[in-house]
Amino acid sequence: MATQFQNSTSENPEGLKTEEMILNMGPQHPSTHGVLRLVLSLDGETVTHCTPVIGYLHRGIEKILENRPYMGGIRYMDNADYLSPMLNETAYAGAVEQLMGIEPPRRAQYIRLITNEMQRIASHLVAVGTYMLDLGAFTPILYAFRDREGLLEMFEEIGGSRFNVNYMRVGGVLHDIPVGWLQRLETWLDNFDKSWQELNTLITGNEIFMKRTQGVGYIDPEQAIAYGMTGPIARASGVRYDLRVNKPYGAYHDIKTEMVVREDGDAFGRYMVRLYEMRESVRLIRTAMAQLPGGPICTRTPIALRPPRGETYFAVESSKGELGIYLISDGSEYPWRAKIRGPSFVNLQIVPELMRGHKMGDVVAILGSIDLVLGEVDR
Amino acid sequence: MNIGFEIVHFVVNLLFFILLISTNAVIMVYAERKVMAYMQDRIGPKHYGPFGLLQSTYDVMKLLLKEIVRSRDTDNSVFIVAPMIFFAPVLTAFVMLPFSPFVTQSALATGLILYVALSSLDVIGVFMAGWGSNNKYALIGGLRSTAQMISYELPLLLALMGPVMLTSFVSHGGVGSISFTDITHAQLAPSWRWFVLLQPLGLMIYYICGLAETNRAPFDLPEAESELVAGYLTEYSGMRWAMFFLGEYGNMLIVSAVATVLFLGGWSGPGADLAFWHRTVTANPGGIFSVADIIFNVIALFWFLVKVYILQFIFIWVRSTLPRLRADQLMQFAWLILIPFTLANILITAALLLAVPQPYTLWVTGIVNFVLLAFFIGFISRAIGASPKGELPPWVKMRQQNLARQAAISAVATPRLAKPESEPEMARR
Amino acid sequence: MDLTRNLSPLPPAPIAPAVTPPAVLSNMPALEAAIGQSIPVRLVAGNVPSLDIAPAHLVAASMFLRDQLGFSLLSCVSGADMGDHLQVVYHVRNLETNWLLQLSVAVPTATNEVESVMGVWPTANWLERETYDMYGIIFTGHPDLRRILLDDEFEGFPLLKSFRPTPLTRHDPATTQVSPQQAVAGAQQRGLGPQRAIPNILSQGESERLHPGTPTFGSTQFHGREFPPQTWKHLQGPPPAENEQKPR
Repeated sequence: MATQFQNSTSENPEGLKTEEMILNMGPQHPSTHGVLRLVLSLDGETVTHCTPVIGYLHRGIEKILENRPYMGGIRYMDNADYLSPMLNETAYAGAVEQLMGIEPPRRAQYIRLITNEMQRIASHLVAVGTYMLDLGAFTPILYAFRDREGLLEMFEEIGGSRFNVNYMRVGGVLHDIPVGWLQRLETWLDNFDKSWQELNTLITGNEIFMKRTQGVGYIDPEQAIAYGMTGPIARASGVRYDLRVNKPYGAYHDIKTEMVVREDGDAFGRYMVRLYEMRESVRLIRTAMAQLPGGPICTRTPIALRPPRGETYFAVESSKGELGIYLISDGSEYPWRAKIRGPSFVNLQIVPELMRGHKMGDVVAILGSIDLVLGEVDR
Repeated sequence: MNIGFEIVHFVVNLLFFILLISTNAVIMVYAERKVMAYMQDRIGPKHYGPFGLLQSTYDVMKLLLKEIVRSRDTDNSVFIVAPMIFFAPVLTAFVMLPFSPFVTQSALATGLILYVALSSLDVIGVFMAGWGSNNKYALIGGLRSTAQMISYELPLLLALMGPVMLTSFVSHGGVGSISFTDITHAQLAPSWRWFVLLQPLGLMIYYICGLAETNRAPFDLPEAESELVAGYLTEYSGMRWAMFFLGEYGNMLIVSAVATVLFLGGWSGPGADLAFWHRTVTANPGGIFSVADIIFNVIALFWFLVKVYILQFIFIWVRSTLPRLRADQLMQFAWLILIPFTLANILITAALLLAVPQPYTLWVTGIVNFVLLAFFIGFISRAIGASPKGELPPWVKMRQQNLARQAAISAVATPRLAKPESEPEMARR
Repeated sequence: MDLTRNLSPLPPAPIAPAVTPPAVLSNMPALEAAIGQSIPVRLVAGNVPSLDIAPAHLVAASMFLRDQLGFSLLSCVSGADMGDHLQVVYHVRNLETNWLLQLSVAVPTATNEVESVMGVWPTANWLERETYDMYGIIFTGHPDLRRILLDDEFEGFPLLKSFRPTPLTRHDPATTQVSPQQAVAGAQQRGLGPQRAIPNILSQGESERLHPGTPTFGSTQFHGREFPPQTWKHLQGPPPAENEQKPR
C-alpha cells in the first residue's frame, strides 16, 4: 500500500494549468461498506481513474482453516461474508461432505435450504437498504432492517446466535427445528409479502432513483463472464447462471429454482434482480416447508473427521454469487488447503472499469450496486 | 408617530425573532427526528424528558460545550468567518417577514428583492467554508453548493413573479407591489383569495427551489454524507458547526414563511380575517393597545406559524421519502425543466391577465395554472427514460440490434473470415 | 422436539443423482491434439475431471478450452503448497453445458513461475495477484503483479507451509497462552518431567500436526519438524532496561 499515486497535470493552450485531483475514499468512509479504499482521480467531478485498495480486513481465514479441524473451521466461515453466514457454512460443510462422500439426510438438506434462503433474503435486504442509503434515501434501510430483524431472531432460535450461527455441521445441521418455529416463519413470510410490496412501491418507480441508477455501471454479458461476475450482477446482465439451477446441490435437486434474469445490465437491473430474488426465495421456503420430510437431521460422523486424501471443489450460490470452497485433504484431521472463492472479491475487480468516466455521485451508485462485503473480499 | 409604540414594537419584534430562530431549530430537530422515526417505523428519541422532548435541548448543550477543532492547514480567517457569513443573512431576512400585522419589523417596499439578495449571500458562506477547510471533500461540497444555489436562484425568483403580477391586477390602482405586507393584504381584500389558488405551479416550483436553496433532500448534494463525508461541513465542529446548522434551519423557516406570505395568504385565516374586516383594529396601528388588537394579532400569528410548520413538515416528509439527485441531473433539472416552466408560467399568466375580460380573469388564470401544474408533474415523471416494468432500456435494445445485425452479416459473409486470434476488445456501451 | 407436519418415512433414493462420468471427457482427445501432448486426467471428489497440465501448455490449453469448448468463466484460481512443490489450480466452467473442469499446474521449483492466463480470462487478474500474495508464485505476463491483500512491506508468503511468522511486537503474550518452555515447567511441577511433556507437543508423526488446543499460538504450529528455539524469543519479553523508572 505504499504505492505512489501521482497527480497528472495538463496545460491548456492559454497556459492555464489544471491538475487532476486525487481523492481517497476510505478506508473510513460512510459508503464504502466497510474498509474498502478507493483512490479516485477526479477531473472536476468526473472519475478518470479508480484504484481499489483492499486488505484492511485481512484476517487470514484460509490460514486459520488450515489450522482448525474440519468441524472447527465452520465457525470461521461465518466471518468471511458476515452478512450471509449460513451460506458460507453450507459451502464449507458441503465441500467436506463431498470430499468424504457423505450424503446428509433429506431433512437436513431441506433445513439447509430453508435457512439458506432466509439468509439470502436477509443479505439482499441489507443490500437494497444500504444501496438506498448510499443514494440518499433514509427510509428503505429501516424497513429492510425491520424485516431482517425477524429473520435474525429466528436464526437465534434455531442456532443460538444471530450472526455467527455456527449451525451447519458436516453431515447435516446442529439442531432440529424448535417448537413453533415453522409457524413463526410462516407468519414472517406472510408479513414479508406486504413489506416486499411496500419496499417495491417505495423504491422501484421513484423517478429520482431510476434516474440515478438506469444506465449507470453498465456491464455487457460478455464482459460479465470475462470478469468472472456471478450472482445477481451477472444475472442482471442477462447471463443465465445460477448454481441453484445450473449445478443444483442438496435440496435444490428437489425444489426447482426459477432464475431471475434481467437484460438491463445496469445498477437498476441489479437492484431489480435482488428484489425479485427475495420473492423467489420466499417461494422456495414455502415449498420446502410444505415438503419438509421427517427423519434425522445429521448423519453419524466420527468425532475426528478424517477425509480421505484428495481434493474437491464445491460451490454454492451465495447471495453475492458463486461461493466456492477448494479443499485439499492429506488424510489428517486438518485441511491441507482450504481456499475460499469469495464472490465479492471477484466482483470487485470490475469496479475500476465501471467507474471510468462516471461522475462522482455515481461512484457510490456503482459501488452499492455491486454489493460488496469486505469480510469476504479480504478474508 | 408615537415613540413609545415604536420602542415597544421594536423590542417585541426583536425578542420574537431571536426566540423564534433559536427555538425553531430546536423544535425542528426534535420534529425531524420524531416525524422521520414514525415514518420509518421506529420510535425516535424517547429518553430525555417526556417523549424525548428534551433531546434537542441536550443536543444544544452538547454543541455549546464541544471543543472547537481546527485542523492545522485551514485557511484561518476564511474558515472562521464562513459560519458567520452563512448565518448573518438568515437573521437579517426576518426583518421584512410579516408574521402578523403587529409582528412585522419593517414593511419594506422592496421586501422580495431584499429576500432574494439575502438568500444568495449564503452561497458565499458555503463556498468560504468549502475553500477554507482545505479538505477535498469540503472543496467539492462547496463547489457543488455554489453551482446549485446560483442555478436555483433563477427559477426561485421567476416563480415569485406570478404573485407579484397578480398583485398588480388585484390592487385597485393597477400598480403591483413587491412588499411582503402588500402582497399579504392583496390576498385578504375579498377574503380567501390566496394566490395558491391562482398560482399553484408557482408554489410548486418555488418550493422545489426552496429545497435546493436550503440544501435539503433530495438536493442535499453539498453535504451528501454517502459521497462527500459531510461536504463543506466536514472540518467544522462545535459551535461553528452549529452556526451552519442553525442557519440551515433558519433558511427552512424563511423559505416556508415566504411561501406562506406569497401563496398561502400570509397570516390570514379564520378569525384573523374576521378581525381584519373590523377596521377598528388595523385602521389605526399606531394607536391604542386594545384587547381586540392583541387577540387579533395572536390569532394572525397562530395561523402564520401553522402554515409555516405545515410547509416545514413537508420538508421532513420529502427528506424521508426521496433519494438524492446527482450533481449534473440537479443542474439539468434547474436549467432545462424549471426555468422554461417558470418563464412559460410568467408569459401565460401575463397574457391571461391582459386578455381575459374582467369577471372571468382570475378564474381562467387559476384553471390554466392548475392545468400547467398537472402538465409539469406529468412531464417530470415522463422525462426519466425507461419504465421499471415496461420495455427494455434503449441501450440494451441498441445492443440487441447490433448483435442481430452482426449475426446477419456473419451469416452472409463469414465462412471465409477466420475467427480473430486475439481477444476482442471489450465493448463498452 | 420434532414438529414437522410431514412425518413420512425417509425416501429410498438419495437426492444426488447417480454418478456418471462427466461428458466433458469426450472432448479430451481434441484438447490433447491441440496442445500436442497427452494430458493425464483424474476424477476428483464431486465427479469433477482434473487435468494435470504442464506449465508450458497452460495458455494454449486455456485458449483451446475457452474458444473451442466454451469454458468462458474462470471461477477460481487457487495456489497450494504440496510439500515438495507448489501448484496452481484453476476451475473453469462452461455456462451452456454446466461443465466444471479443474486444471492443475505444478509450478516448477527452479523458477517458481507460471504463465498468466489473464489474456484468456481477464478475471484472473486479481485471482493471480492473490495467489502471488499468498504463495509467491510469479505469473509471467501479468501486468500488475503486486501484493493485494497483504501489506506491500510484508515479508514472506503466509500460506506456504514453510512460513514462519516474525513477531511484530514484543509484548507479553496473553495470560492463557504460555510458551512451550513454560508449559514444560508446568509439567515438571506436576511431576511429569520434560521427557514426557515435550514429546506430547513436538514429536507427533509426520502426517500429524499439533492440535490447536495445545497452549501455543496458532502461528507456531510445526508440522512434525524441528522446533526452532528462536521462534519463542519474543515471548520472553525484552530484556529489562536498566535504570527503568516505573511510572507512579
